Amino acid sequence: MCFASGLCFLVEEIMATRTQKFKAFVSEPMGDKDVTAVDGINDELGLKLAAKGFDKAYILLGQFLLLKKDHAVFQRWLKGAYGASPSQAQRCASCLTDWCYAFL
Amino acid sequence: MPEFLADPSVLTKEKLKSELIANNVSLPGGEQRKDVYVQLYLQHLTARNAPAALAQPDFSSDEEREPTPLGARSRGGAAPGRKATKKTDKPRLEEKDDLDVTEISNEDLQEQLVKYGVTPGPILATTRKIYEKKLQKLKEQGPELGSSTLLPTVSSSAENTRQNGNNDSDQYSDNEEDPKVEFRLEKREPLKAKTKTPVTLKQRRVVEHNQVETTAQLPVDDAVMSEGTPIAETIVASSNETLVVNRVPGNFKHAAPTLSISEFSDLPRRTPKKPLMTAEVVEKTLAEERRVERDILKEMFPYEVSTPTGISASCRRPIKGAAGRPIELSDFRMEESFSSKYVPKYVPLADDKPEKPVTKKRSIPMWIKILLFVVVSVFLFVVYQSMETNQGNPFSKYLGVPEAKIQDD
Repeated sequence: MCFASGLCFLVEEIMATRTQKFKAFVSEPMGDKDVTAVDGINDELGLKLAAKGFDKAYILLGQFLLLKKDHAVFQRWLKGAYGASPSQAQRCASCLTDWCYAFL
Repeated sequence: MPEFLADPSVLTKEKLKSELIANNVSLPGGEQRKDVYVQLYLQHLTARNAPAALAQPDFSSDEEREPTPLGARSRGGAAPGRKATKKTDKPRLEEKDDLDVTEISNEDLQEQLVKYGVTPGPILATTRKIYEKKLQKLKEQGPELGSSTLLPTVSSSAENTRQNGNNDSDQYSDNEEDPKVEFRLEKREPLKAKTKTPVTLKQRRVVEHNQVETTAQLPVDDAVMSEGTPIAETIVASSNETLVVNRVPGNFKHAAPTLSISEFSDLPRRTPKKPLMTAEVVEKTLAEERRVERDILKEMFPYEVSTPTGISASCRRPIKGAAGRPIELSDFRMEESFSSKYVPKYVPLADDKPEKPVTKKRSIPMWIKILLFVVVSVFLFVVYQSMETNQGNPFSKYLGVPEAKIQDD
């Protein structure tokens, strides 16, 4: 039983840390945050985005809004143009969506 | 004839100057960058090692290039068709001479814009045309810019955008302000950090109102910010004043107290905004609204800490019950529904924020259950222990001490 509870604890921790970035981004106006502050955008992807001009989170948000906040289209764009993984793209899309619901 | 150095940059600036003077080369007035002297040296003196004929026609080009000491940009722009003695100038000039901006690729377009000191946003299908136009204007106006300061050159690019009329996205105008803003941030460091926003807003406003110099406005921003003036009363005056200021480029100081809150021109500015309302525009108008609110707040609460971005990090909480969000305390469902459903998603988000700074959600009840189980079992065990009297305690071999306890009962 101890092992099971320990395992559960670990799983919860992992899930918690993963959503920490998400919550940190969605909990306040993004302001001038870097694009890497968006959940799902790691450093590598962030560099690729910045090289093409998407150096701030609001610019990525702009692209998202231009695509009419369409999850699928946005993910496809992110995967196709910048080589994001499906999970990265999905996390990014849901992060931006939540931000929009909160502040837009 | 003495041999001149092929690489004059090994000499100091003073040496270069003296060498030039000694060889009857006219120097530009005032202090110039070493590069300028190096260039002149190369043109006149190194060329004299070779047949002197080459040196002569360069004089006229030199004269024009001298007053533009602003490094590569102006040098390259000043003499597009002339003999460039510096090798570094040549390839750049040739690159810029692709007069057909529509043919160059996105990356090249970005590079060339960067050469003019403009930091463009992403060049996509929607933004490409705007950047092409901007580059074209920059190329036309580049050679004509004989000014020696950074401001006019930067503002000229702003003029370009203004002449374009701010068609689709505000991206370019916003981004090109970044170098200006940074230029100004050095001065403004001790001041409040909302400097960025007024410049941004100002640029856009200018787009609509005027095509005249932004030079007046940009430095005015500095003065404005340094004032920290009471904001409220000058809201109406500001928009009028900016128009007046436009015609008086020299009167920076005068405009300062009156101009004050250029940022409040947000409000009138937003209305003439194009109905196109692209994502960037929407985003920025919202940001400006917040800035306006915060500036008023700053005036009301001048002792508040101001942030570098000018945006106070007030944790905004989504209003419960607004935008169709039901008021429920269903925060335990949050994690699972992140990617699936939107409605329960932001409800638990709203509730989760104020309630649980810790990220664990589902784990808590589970752990409580386990803990409770353990506590209850221990309690029962203790009760059983205390109840056992005079009988052979089956646990006695495990517990030596409690026998004493039993005796006390």
